[in-house]
Amino acid sequence: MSDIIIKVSRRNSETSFIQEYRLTYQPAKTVFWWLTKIKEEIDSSLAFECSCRSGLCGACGIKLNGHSVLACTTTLKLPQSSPNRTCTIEPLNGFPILRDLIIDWRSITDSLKIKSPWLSQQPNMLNTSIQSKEESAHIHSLAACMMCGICVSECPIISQGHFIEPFIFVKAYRLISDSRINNQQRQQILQNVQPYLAYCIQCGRCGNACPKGISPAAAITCLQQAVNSFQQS
Amino acid sequence: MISFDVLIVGGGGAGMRAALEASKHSNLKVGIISKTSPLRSTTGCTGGGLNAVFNNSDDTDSFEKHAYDTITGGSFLGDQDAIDFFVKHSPDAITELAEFGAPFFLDSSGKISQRQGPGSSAPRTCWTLGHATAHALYDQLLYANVTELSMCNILELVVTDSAVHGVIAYDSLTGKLIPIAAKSIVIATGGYGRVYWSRTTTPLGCTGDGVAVCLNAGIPVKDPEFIQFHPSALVDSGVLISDAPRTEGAYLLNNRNERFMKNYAPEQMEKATRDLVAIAIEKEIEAGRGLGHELNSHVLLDLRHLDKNLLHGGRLSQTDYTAKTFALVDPLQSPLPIRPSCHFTMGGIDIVDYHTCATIIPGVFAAGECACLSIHGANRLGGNALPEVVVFGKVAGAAAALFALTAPQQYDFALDSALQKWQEKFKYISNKKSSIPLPEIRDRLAQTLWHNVGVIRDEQRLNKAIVEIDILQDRYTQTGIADTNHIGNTDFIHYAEIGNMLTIAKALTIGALNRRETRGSHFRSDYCNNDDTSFLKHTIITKEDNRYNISYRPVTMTKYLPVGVEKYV
Repeated sequence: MSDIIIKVSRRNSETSFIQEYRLTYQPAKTVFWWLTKIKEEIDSSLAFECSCRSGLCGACGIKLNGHSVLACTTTLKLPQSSPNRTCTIEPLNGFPILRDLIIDWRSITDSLKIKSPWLSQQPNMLNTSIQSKEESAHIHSLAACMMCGICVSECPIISQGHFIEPFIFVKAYRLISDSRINNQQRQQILQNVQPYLAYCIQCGRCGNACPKGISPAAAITCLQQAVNSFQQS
Repeated sequence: MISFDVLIVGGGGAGMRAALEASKHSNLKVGIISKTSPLRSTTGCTGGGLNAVFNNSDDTDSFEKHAYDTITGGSFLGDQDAIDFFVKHSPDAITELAEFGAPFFLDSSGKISQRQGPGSSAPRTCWTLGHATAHALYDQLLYANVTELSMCNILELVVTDSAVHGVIAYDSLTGKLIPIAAKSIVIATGGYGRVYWSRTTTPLGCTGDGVAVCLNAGIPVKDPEFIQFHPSALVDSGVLISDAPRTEGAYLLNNRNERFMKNYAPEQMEKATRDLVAIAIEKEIEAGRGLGHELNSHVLLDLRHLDKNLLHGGRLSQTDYTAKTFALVDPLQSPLPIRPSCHFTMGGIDIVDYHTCATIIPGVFAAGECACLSIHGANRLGGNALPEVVVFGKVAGAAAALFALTAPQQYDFALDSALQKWQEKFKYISNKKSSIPLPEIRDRLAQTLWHNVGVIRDEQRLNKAIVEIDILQDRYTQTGIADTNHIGNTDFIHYAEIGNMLTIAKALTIGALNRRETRGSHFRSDYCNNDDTSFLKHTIITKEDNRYNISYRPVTMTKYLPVGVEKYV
């Protein structure tokens, strides 16, 4: 098998640079496998994150050749167009970087405390667990969101600074769809997200890249409709 | 210095639930440190099944039945008073999760749907999405008055003369070794399945950090030899293939294309219990009838004859996805290479009072997979892990808060000197040119444990493992790290993790060597039956410097006496 070059974005407290690693290509290996191989056989200082390595937890989002993916579920295939058998691996866009490919999730948690739509509600707002099977099935499709951050990375407008993480709209839509919350709570959630809805340009990249097949853009459309109908009534 | 009244170590289900409970006291300063974001903890990577008696699908289910299933599933090694407490508190804990927003699958009347799991005598398992328990608790954590420090690894629990001072941790974000003072501490760091490294289904972080720091601080571990092995994980990646394909009629084949289960369980064949199937597969591999080599040895799980609708949108859709994504195999075209893998660790930090989750050190509590109450005994019933996490996370958080309310302010010198020791250690290992790469020590440990302290154990193998672990411990002291950066130093984190795994591996092996019987997940080919007269008792292992001491403690039996000799393979 011939060699490939994997170009990895490196960043530490002092500097950022692109490092090239040359490895012998093997088919049918995931990006996580390649990163582990680099770390354990070539350069133990390379920092990346992975937890379940089964596509369940959402810890290992990275950009492979410019596309935001989960490292553990994505097989590294050589780009056909690349003349030098080269792949690039970068951290997700739109997040503070702790080191190399690792996102600073502590800062994200702090920011979620400020901007989450569910936050102005009292805890335990779902005061009963009784609801119909159909209602719960709808919620399940939205609750599949792992908050991996791939939607954030693919969003072309979040870097402008006015928008918030697309996965927050998925959570907001899930909450207002829940039959167990009352209209006052619903209105509060809508008020919280309403200022951000208009920034979405409906490009649909978030939904196309989502590993769970959820579309934040579609959630935003539904939230806008809900805002409109609240304003009418 | 950072200081808290209550410090929670570990951001998974038990840790988050403990933090929520402690934070109900608004006058207490509560902090939580975790090695990864709470969303990526083991609770965020589960199958999503939780046992509780709700009688939604079966009027005849009862606390007694849930307790008895748990007791027999654990081969009578579980403490029956703790189990009784557990089953009675599980329904409220699950209702609370639903109220926190975890979406459960419902039946046609809108109540939580309950299905019968393996080893359960009634439909009792409630199902939610695998990551939903962690996300529901995380949403609540955002409301709560809790300081959350993720990307922060515990290195040492600082205890002097039976008094807890706090912990030394490595903060990835600032790159600093930090002392954290606390009046009370809840350890909730998860299991130690990663001692088998590639042969486990557990997340990468399950390196038993909390168990090891407790052992080092003088807190015993209980029953560390009890490891649950799941019969089927993909050989290369360790990703779990559930019991579902075998339930639906998949075959297990050796290298002669034989359905070898006919020699082990001629009636049940592939549908035999997890323990039995795991032992059968390992015996086939040992007899040279497996495929592949070393840790990649495996047998085949053949689904080719099954109805394709089962795989495409049916009950085996998840298996189909897993096979195609992680083994790049279409299960309708080729069989899957599988091997047993460590799935859960029943043993852990010795809890001396299940009402509080207290350890022998006042002010130190533990909950979740890192703790051993013991409710799982010698083997865990499917669906009992997640309710354990929320039931006892809450208990530990409440008790730690209560302790902190009356505890005096600690002195800091103990933390200062511990910090200094770690700073010197960091300097030493990052200047050291390592002759042995760290992953090599880790992989050799995994190989040693798998072959000698794995599914099949005997005296000779266990003695061999002790010798080998001592050699690896010695080599470990000669290693260093290549990464000299302070921030995000995953090399240093892994160094600490490997040290922790070596510490636990020794305790686990000593426990297994001295338990000269077969019970639950602990299979001794030289002592094939359970021996209630000599071994119906908990293993208690303590560590002083590098010396391990073993003793035993009686099992609490309130209602049910053991059934006598159980038949194993």
